[in-house]
Amino acid sequence: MVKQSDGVEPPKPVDDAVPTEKIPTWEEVAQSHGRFLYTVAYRLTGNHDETQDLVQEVLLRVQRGLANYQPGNFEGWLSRITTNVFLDQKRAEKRRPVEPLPDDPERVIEGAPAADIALANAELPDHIQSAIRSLPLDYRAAVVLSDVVGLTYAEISESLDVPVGTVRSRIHRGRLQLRDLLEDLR
Amino acid sequence: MNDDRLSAYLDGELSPEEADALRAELDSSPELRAELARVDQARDWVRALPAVEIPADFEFVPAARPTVSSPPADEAEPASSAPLAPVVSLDSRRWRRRAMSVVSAAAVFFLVLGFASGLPGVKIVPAVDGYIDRHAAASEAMPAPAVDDVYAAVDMDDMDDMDDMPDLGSVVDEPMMGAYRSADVLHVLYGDESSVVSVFREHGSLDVDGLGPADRMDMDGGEAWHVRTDAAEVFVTERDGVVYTVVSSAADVDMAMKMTDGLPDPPQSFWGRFGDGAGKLWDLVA
Repeated sequence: MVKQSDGVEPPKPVDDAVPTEKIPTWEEVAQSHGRFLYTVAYRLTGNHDETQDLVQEVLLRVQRGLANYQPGNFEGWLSRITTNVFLDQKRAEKRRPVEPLPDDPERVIEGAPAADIALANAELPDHIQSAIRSLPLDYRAAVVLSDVVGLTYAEISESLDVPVGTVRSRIHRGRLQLRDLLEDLR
Repeated sequence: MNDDRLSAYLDGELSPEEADALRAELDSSPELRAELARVDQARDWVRALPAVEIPADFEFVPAARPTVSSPPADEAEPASSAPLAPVVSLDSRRWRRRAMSVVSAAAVFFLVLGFASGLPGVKIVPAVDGYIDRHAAASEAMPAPAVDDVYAAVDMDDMDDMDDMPDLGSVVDEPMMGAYRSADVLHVLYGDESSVVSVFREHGSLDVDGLGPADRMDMDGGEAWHVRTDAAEVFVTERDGVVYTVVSSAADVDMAMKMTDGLPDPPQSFWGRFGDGAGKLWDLVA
């Protein structure tokens, strides 16, 4: 379980719809937190195919883990599972390199967008998402847990099993790299 | 500059004393103020990202779940006003792909090996393609290997379950990470976060002619065959009535070769194997 923070209330991208007293079924989790789960997974992976595989794997872990879930920060718990499954999968891929599919444009990591393109506000989220996806895995996980999920540093530390100082460093370096990648955006 | 106090400051993660000290530094340092503005901008961009549009055909179902029922009508509304795809029976592309993979692997196991393995002296051909798939699936889930309907998890501390599997981890100083069984094939994983090797063990005599393209290798522990495939590194060898198939990625080929070379003869006696074989034969007849 991810502990609640002391003092600083994390922002809530999506309200907790699951009562803390009652342990939900996985179907209820899918209904009430599906969009949240999908969003976190997409911010980590950067494409829908990987997101959908990740979400289904997370729901399997949720299904198996609900019996042991202690009521608390449910979205923190979901985010922790999602991030750890994602990192496990990526580390496994490093052991078994997978050739990118040439016909999947989402797999191409874009560099900093040109200024004229960047001015198109409608495309801003895509550019930011591409930049997130180009971050090193450890930075990406920390930034997503902080700025997408809204976890505190203590919660991220527990989720990733690293010291709080490491979380602080990864978030800061990740943000600086993001800013560098999106240099032309104003 | 790279002062991670700045992100902690923005996130409210500094103590009041630390925040006061940083504010004083910011007053006197244009460089520090510039870095603060940069991380603040990046932070705002990510936090302002909208919820992701979920493709209409995506189904929220757990992996490896064959069928699910529709949610009750009185289910709580989704947290967001945007509709979620209904929870329905599985029919997605990914599921068909996975199901086909599992069915193919199972078919190979049971058709090729199901009736032949386990009997000493019976010629068997390792289901190399299926083993490569099994190795990939299991190593992907490390360090908590997944189980499914094809393989049953084996208690690594129970030597009956482990079928007297030798401790190959000592050969390469890598721990045994998981074990599974399907029909008469025992699958054991060795390694850590950076290296994973699978060893598949089955009783019988190796049918070299049925193995397909492979290169014979003379090892200290006996002869082995390196199967020609681009999908993985595969070594097959027989040691006294037991066929071992060792599978790894190209990166772990040295570890796989050491384990193949270090395979000992099985400790089980002839009469023990005879008893096993007779039991399996009785099961077939019965």
